[in-house]
Amino acid sequence: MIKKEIQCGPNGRVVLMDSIAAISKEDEGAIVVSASHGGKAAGEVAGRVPLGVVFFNDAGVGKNNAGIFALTMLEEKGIAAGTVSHVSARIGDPFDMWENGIISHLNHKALSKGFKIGERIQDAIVRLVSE
Amino acid sequence: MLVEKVYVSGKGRFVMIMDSITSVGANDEGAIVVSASHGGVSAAEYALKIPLAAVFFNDAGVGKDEAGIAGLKMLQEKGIPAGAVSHETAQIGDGKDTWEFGIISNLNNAAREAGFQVQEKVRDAAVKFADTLSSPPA
Repeated sequence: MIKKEIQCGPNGRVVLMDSIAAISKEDEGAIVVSASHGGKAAGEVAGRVPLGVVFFNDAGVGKNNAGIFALTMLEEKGIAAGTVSHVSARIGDPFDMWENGIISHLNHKALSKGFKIGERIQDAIVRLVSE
Repeated sequence: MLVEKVYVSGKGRFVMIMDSITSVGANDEGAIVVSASHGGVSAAEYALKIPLAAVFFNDAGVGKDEAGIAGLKMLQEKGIPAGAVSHETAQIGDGKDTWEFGIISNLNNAAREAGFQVQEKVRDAAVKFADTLSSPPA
């Protein structure tokens, strides 16, 4: 399993992980980029720790928008969350998500933090932690 | 997160239905696992921790470099039948929906040799497959 902290700015801790199952208490307040889908199961796990921001892979969105369902679940907890497009980054590969992921969906909390759909996730996060 | 054991043959074979493949554990040895995880590399790593009879995932729209089903090849290398259901037929992250509605979209060679077929309902296919197996390891 992969879990790695990235140094990219003074105002926030950025943690990459191949599965959201790798989160722990120490990640409270962190910006997490996970290569998990953004479905119900991922939303349940992500909601256990009050993260600063969390990203997933949209898994093609799919039936009943199941691939991005976590965004609504996390919105209810006041946590900013988004996904990158499954054609821009490999699901299960956090380094590809970080290098190449393009934001495809955001909840309101993430929009209010200045994230934008169509932006490269790395550019958006670097901007956030550099402010 | 849902983990449900369903007996599907008179020989004591069972299907473990799970929202996430991260729930797989030592008690699942020899089981047929139907998970609602994507079928990527990280998911296959979990599935490979325990010798399973067969394992299914969600194809996650397949996506870039076929990452959503990349785990099928990893399981093939260990000779484990593995497949995915289409993300348009079953809700990723929802094991119950996968079991009830998932239609197989992709299979590795071991799964094809075991008799699984694309376009089949995963539930029907798993029940049929269980009947072909001997009793599970004690």
